[in-house]
Amino acid sequence: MPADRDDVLQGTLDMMVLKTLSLGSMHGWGITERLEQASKGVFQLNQGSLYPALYRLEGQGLISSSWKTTENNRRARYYALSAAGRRQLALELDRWARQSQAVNLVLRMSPT
Amino acid sequence: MHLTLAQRVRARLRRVVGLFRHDMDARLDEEMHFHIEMLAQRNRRAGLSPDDARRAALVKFGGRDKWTEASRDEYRSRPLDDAARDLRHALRTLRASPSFTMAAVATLAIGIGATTAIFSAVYGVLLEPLPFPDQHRLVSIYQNNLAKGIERDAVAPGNFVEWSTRQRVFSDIGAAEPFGLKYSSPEGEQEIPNFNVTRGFFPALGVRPRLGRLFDDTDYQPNRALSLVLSYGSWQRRFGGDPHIVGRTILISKAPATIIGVLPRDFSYLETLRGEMFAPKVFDTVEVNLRSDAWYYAVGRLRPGVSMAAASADMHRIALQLAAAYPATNRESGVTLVPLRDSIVGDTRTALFLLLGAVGFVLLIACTNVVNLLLAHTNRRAHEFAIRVALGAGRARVVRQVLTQCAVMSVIGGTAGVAVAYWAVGAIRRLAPASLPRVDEIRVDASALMFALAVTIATTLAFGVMPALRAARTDPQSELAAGGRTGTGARQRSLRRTFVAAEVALTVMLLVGSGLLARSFTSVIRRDRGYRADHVIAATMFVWQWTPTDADRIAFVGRLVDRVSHLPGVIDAGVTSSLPLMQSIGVDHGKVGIVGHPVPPGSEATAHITSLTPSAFGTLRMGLIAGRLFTVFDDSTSARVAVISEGMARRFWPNENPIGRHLTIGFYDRPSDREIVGVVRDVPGAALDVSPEPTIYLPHAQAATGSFSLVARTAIEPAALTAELRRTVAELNPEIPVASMQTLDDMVSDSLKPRRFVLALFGCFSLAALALALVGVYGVINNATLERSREFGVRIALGAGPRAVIGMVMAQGLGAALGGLALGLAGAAALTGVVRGMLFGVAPVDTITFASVALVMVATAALACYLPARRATRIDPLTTLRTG
Repeated sequence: MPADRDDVLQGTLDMMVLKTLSLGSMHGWGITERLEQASKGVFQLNQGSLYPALYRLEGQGLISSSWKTTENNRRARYYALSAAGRRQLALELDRWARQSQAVNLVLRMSPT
Repeated sequence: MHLTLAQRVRARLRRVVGLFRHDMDARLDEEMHFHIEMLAQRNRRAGLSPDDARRAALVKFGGRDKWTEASRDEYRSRPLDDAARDLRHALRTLRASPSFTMAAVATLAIGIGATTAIFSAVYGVLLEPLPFPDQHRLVSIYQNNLAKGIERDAVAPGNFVEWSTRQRVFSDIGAAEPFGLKYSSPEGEQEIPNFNVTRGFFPALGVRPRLGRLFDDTDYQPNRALSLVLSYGSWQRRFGGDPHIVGRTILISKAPATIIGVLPRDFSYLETLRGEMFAPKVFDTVEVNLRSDAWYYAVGRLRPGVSMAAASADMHRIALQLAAAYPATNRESGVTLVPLRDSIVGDTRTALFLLLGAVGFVLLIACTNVVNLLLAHTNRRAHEFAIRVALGAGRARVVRQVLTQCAVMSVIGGTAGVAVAYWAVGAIRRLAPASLPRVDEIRVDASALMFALAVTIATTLAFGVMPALRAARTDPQSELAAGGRTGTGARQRSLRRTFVAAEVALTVMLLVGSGLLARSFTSVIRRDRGYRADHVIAATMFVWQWTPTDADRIAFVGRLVDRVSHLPGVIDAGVTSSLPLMQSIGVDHGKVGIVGHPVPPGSEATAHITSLTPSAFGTLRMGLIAGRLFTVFDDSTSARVAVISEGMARRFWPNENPIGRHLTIGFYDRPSDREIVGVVRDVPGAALDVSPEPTIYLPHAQAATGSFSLVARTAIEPAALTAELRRTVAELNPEIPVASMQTLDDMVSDSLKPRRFVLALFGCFSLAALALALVGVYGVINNATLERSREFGVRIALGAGPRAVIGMVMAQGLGAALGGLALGLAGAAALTGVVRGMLFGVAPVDTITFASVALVMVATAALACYLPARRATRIDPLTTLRTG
């Protein structure tokens, strides 16, 4: 595994999908593209792993989906954030912020 | 297409789960396809060849199958899917061990089927609402004489008239007279038992006709042609359900009568048979003032808001008024009110609840057997469960798996049980005595099916929980380490012993119950009847209308007896006003005064009074104890005489010779002095199991009655004489109806029918319980022996003889059985109160019964243990030790 291509941490993928969808509804392929773009290529998803996450989130009622037509006139399943998803995202971001801050503090620890 | 039940169930389930799943699979496939294509497109834009672009896209996507599977896991309905998997697994497991499955399912089917059938009977007879509106307001009204210990008697017409005019608590009140109509059917004239009903009868019950109308005032006008209302059954049977029956004229006593209506199908009142035809009843001038003889059934509908207590108080007030107005007949007469349902159901309540209890025991034993089977089965599968748990199956899943298996067995068993119940209900209806009321209401209906469902669920839980928990407790480490060779723990062994004991105890209680009932039955049959019933035919008739004076009646009876005696095949014949086992048809109770034993007025003794011809004593072979019987010289011109029963003699002349003593009889308010000339043996009264009443016999020539039974003793089969007797009566007077014709043997048999019915069912249940217990104990001991086969192998190798091995196995099984036996006998002794009312001539804790039951049970348990024990002796030590 190349060092610059981190595997997505279990659990964080769900949060990142929610975050991506908060920008607007898009299909599965679109989500992976946005994720790679946004992470500047660091997150090279094993792209199939997106789908269990999407179905899980839909099962939890955090996102909804429907068939739509792409700009190239192809049929694709578009996902959109639900109200519950929006709330969940806020919670997750908040928790992530606290956790990463704590982790950073620990990592910056110096002998005093 | 022919599918097995299992296949059909599976197909149905797959469809329910599958519809949704199929859509989702297609959607997932399309999404992934799109995604990979987009990836390939990007790769092509980056300059790869189409093939390389596609290959790279697949790599980047990752294992498509893997992600498909992972996604499916997210959307598949987990519980439903697990249930489907459990079901498949259960069916597979059950199919894999067919003998276990068959045994368990058959046991359940019998248990559930029998319970459902008896429930149907209990529900139909006791619980289902009567087919009358506001049935809780319907009351049967009886005359009572508490001083004589009579709580419910029929009503005298004179009293009914007084009640109707004086009462304030019933919105409607009516009476029904058991009667017989002479119907000229196409097949010839026949007597139809029927009810003549007063104006208030149908309004009180609140019945609406199915066809036509019920009686109104016009039908009750004097000298009007007879109107008839038919029951549904009689409409169907006699008139083929003719939809145009209303308005049709038929011949009753050779006079035209019009059918004006048909009752609804579910209508039934007291004696179902009599309810075939209803005719209007107007009291004649004699009946209006007749208070000494009671033969009417009265029913009232309480006004809204009137309680039973208030109604009783009002009727008591009337009884007091009548006692003051007519002291001669009504001084001791009161009124008893009983809810109509109770009066219909009567004594059957105890019997039915007894049977329901018995069948419940059978079900419990059946469940115990299935638990045993299952425990053994799950034990054999302990290794499999251990692997499942080791592989990460939650214990809850294991529990659910076992419970699913139980549920599948229960459902199959319950379905088969309903089939058994249908069959059994048919058998019950055929077997049921005519005295079982509402027998037509017994059927496997919605409530019975609900009951079967409830029982099925309850049994699943009852027999499933323990093995399921046991399976979940499996400790994978020790189980797998032992390589599937672990035996059962001490804890489980003691559990199984408890089951054996419980089964034996339940069986013992049932056996004691049927033993007591059987002993009562034989003592009823064997009891001294004081007469001989074989080869006697009895024809009951009402002649008063055609023989207005005593002289006419005496003359008619003389001619009748003379003619019948000379019929071929007849040995002798006579006439009696009451038959053994029958409610008296003519003279009833009378006040008796003993000359020389003065008693204060109001406390006179009473006795049953029968008037008969001299020949009737001989025809019935009644035994003379002292003095003489009547002769032809005891006629209306000679001295008044009487013969009394043994019991009467014992009661009034305990240490004296009654012959030559005098008594007075208040006979229709005409007391007459009579000399006692003889004493005969006691004859039981209304039923074989009722103690004989003190009885006085009078010569018919000195106490003629207008209704009586002709009895004839025959040298041939008595039933063969039926037509001949009818013809003879018709020759004397074609108008006189023969109300019933029956052999005394049949009457005896009929009177025993309720007892035989309960005994037969109870006996069946006990035998079923015994068989189940035998199988159950055998199964437990057999399994225990199998599990100990290594141990026995070692023992045999070390020199233990067959005797010792048999002893070990038997000791283990019999120990538990004996514990159960003790428990069962104690339980039976404690429960005898329940059957006490049905016992006759046997003590509730009857030594013989208890001892024989103990013997039977020990023998059965010994047999159940001996077979596995024998097998244990044949264990080949080499084989067991090598494989072990």
